[in-house]
Amino acid sequence: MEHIEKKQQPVRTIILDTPILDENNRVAAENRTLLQASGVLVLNLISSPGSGKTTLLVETLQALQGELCCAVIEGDQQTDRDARRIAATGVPVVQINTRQSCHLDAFQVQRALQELQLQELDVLFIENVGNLVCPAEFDLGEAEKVVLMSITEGEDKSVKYPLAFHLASVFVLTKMDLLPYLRFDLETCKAFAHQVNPDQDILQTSSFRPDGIEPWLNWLRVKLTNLKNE
Amino acid sequence: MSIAEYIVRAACEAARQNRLAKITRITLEIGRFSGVEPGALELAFGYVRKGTLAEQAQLEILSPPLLLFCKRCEMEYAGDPEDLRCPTCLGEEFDILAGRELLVKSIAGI
Repeated sequence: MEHIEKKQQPVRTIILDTPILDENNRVAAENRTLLQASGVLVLNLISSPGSGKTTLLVETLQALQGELCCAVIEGDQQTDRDARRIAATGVPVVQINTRQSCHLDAFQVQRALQELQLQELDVLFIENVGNLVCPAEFDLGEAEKVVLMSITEGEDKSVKYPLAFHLASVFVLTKMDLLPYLRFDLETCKAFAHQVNPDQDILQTSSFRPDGIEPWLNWLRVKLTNLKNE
Repeated sequence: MSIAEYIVRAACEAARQNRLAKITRITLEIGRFSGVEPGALELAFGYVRKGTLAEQAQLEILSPPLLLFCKRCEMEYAGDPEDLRCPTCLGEEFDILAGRELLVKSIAGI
């Protein structure tokens, strides 16, 4: 019997060169335009879970009461526990639950912005999902990325997660009041951070001490003044 | 996961436009200094491709190394992600030339 071989279809290659974060970056640019037009300083707070982001924010909001109008976008995989802590300060807060996702994206932030009175705000804090990897890659439309690390995490976080530290203009060290109880060398920590971001401001804070967050508050005030003068 | 979804969506859209019946390979460029971990992406891709034109596609990931430019030496150098400064002069002003890529380079199919 004659065997008729089926002709195989040739494989075709199609060149795309499509940026993977194209859609996110387009929406982030829209967010940035809107926020700049409203004169709001927007900060994207990135850290590991448990570094003290929410505690620092609560203390910050209380300290700035009557001085600046603030709002918060809270990103967590689940629960509104952090949003309730923020809401207790009387500041407007929008909770985003990212479910399976380990970071906030520009689309989620765009929707959250519709719930805020942007014209009335001076500062908008976006508390990202606790994670030092993916949040670094997703632009949300912020003016600055802020990276936080508690001194219980060790000196070398910046070189283990270099992209987050490289992209953040300021590095906030938290829980400085624990220094006497830890084997943590501040100069080593600063030297590591310097390796991946020589221009970075490094601020030492302690949310539980009187005046413990002054360096951070002053940094905020300077940033806001610069923004208003632009 | 959202990155894997985007990749599959972009690949399937291109496949439909080019009348491919199925995708056999998706080639990505994920720079060494990007926030995407290839292992995690491959895992997510395995879930996301089910029921799509990319169901049997292989994922090929190219990882361009980190390439920096020292503004003081005016020289290019291979970057160490743990220390981005210029190894020659320890210069602290540099530009990233490559290593931040996040691209769907191409697809192949029949």
